[in-house]
Amino acid sequence: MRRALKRIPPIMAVLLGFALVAGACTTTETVTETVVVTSIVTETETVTEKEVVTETVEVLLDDAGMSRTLRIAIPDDVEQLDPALGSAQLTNLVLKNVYMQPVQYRPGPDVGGFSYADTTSFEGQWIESWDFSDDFTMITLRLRQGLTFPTSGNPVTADDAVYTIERALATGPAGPAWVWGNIGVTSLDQIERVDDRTLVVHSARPSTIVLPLMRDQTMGILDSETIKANSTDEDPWGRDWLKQNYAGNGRYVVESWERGSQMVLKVNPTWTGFQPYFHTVILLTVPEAANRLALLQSGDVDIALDLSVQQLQTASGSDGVKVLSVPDRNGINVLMNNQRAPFDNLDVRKALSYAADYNAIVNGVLNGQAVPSQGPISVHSRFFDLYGLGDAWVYEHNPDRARELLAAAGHGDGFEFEMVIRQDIPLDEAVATNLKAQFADYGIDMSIRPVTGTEMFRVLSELDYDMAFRGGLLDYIDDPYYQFFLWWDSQDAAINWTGFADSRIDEILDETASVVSDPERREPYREAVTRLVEAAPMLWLANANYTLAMREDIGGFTLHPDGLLWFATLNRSG
Amino acid sequence: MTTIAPHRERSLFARVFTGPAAGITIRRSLFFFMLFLAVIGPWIESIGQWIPIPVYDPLRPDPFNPVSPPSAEHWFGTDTLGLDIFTRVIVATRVDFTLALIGVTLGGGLGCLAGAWAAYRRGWVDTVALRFVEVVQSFPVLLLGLALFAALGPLDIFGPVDHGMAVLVIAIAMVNFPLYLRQVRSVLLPLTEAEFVQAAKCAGLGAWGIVWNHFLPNARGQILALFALTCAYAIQIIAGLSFIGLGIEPPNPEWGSMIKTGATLIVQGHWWVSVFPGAAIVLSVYSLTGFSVRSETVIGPGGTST
Repeated sequence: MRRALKRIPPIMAVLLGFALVAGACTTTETVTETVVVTSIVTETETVTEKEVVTETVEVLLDDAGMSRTLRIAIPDDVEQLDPALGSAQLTNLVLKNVYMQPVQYRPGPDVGGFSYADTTSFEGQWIESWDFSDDFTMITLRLRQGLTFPTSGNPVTADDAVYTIERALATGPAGPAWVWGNIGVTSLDQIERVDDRTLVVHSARPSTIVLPLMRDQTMGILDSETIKANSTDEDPWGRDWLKQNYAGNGRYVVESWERGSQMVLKVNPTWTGFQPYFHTVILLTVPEAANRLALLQSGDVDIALDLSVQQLQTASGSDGVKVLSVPDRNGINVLMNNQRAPFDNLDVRKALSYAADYNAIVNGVLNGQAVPSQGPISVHSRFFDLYGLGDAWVYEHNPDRARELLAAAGHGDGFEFEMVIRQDIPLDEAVATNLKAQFADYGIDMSIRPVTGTEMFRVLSELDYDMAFRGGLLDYIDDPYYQFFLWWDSQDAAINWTGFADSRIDEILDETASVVSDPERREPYREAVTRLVEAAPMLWLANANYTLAMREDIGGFTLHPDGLLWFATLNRSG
Repeated sequence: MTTIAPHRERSLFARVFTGPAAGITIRRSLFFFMLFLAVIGPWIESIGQWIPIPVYDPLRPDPFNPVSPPSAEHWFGTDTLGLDIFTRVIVATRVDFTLALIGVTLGGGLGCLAGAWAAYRRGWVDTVALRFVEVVQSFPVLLLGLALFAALGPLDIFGPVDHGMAVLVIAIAMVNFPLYLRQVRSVLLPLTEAEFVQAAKCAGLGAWGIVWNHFLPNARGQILALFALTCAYAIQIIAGLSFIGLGIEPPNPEWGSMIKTGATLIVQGHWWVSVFPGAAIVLSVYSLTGFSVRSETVIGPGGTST
């Protein structure tokens, strides 16, 4: 017994010391090997521990013999397919591409191999045209003719539109119900069906962001007949069914979905407008970022999502790979619980705003792929210049001022608190670790608690945290009203995750909710931004670039304000 | 009849640690070196000011120098956050050794008492103890650790003690308890009818007095051998649990979590992030098992001192 036991530790040591280390290279549960042949057929073989699934996917080639199949390595599986329920960025990405929203942004001009979406210009999707009444409270929507739902063959009618809105309002308050609420629609009575292809929306108030809201991924039109056929008394809106099944007609349609492995999208054959270059999009679930990078480097995928800063650096030096890094509104912001000590103390919040080393975050952690933040409105927002926010006062690294404020708050010797981050997210870990070291210079003892995504959502929603960092925060619409209503309205904000309240900001929001003129909104929002910066409810550290690693031949990328990859404009012209 | 040598514990320990048969072996030198690192760990940054070795604050990242290969400035390189791996490997020595020591002492101590009591009382006490051992040992260690973290995770019961460390200690104690119980019971079972036990009973000593004063000391050699062995095993458990994200919270240095940090970097050629903490585990386990071997040599095959 003793001799047997005696042999275990050295063996285990070797296993842990070498097998764990070296074996970690092959930690993925699923290994995907792709063999691209010269004919128009590609065989994709997915090897798991238990089974071998072989699938044949037709691949069309363009005139130059280039594949019209786009392969994307994604970190997680898609959560579900009901546009009313999407929450994770990846799920929203798929929902945006496989469902058809009323409108989408038009691509802007090419600015060196990519373009920004023109946030002032829209093109109809399931609506062909739209008109606003003079007071902006009545919107006439005319449906595009000739559209059908590819999977059922049912035509897209005004009844489908009404059903989609009715279902959205019934399945709220989040998702599309929240979006329609912001448009000013809270009841189906506000929707008037004029004829087979005309709807009139009677909004409760004017809004500048009606069209930007209508491009939301939650606004996809649904095949009402199919969903009704799959609804039950217990589930009258077919929510359970639609989570796992598809009833849409986006630019791409879901052809197959192998849970945890891959999703295959095909171009929508019923769409008569501009045809996407890629006829097939394959989303391969590859949980390990290192493997996504390896697949990209070997050319087995065209795009790899969610790579770390270091991995992007490695990718940019690889043959046949390019890394797109373009200025974006992505906010690297640290949340403080304004309702819990010591962060209910203004001096403490301001002290940490001065204590943070912005240069270390921007040029170190983010490797220069960012710029220092200038407050709540991103420096890359259209409104930053429009409202003249560049001359607004902001925080800079100032250790002396930080110490003064801490002393004034009664924390001259520091204090202890906990920061919550998402587990296994390199960016979250890097930001938290750097802040921990920076705050330690002031005697502040910050512990770090990694949690799951679900737990993170809970602690933020319930304000059950001291400080939290949840990666890049991106408002899907570039508009100050949208951002303030989303974050800072003390009564109605959907994600007031800091517990901040300022009655004057509430007043400004009420006053500007129906104002559609930018000159009229300029001064109120300048005041709101100034008040917010002075109150320092969160640490605005940086505005990070949008980054994407892809093969060199991929072109046609358009960056949308929501940061969701739009497949329809991609091609192999890169 | 087994001859019980009185007052031999001092010579036993002395021979295990310093006996001439052991000599100055590599393992022993390595063990004392690791022990030395564990002791100086918290003051390593201060020591670095006096002697010319490149050590840094183990918790202060250098965001401008991530994943830097071994160099004169960073002997073991830096990790993804720009933390110095050499410093962190040294500091982590104390964390891993201390947790292993506390966990094994706690679980082993209770296991020894339970094993001795089961051997002395026999009957249903012995049966229940053995069935309990079988139940606990039927769980794989990592599964047991996961279950413990899941069960104790939401509970704020450890006060100022780090929650992850406390759960790790409990996990190690739970793993070691049945090992010691079974080992001590098997060693002491033949002694239940020994003359010295009968004599103690005749002298009017209570059951616990006999177990503590006369029974348990006879398993001292085996306990010592098992102790070194299980400490080595515990270090691997700590590393294993930390590798899967349980236990020591980042960015606190711990060998297992350091291996995890670098595991995915190996395919990119950044081997140093994982290999050095992995080597530390290998060396510490190798050094600890040396004492187990030595203890067995001293105790001899029959369980008595040779």
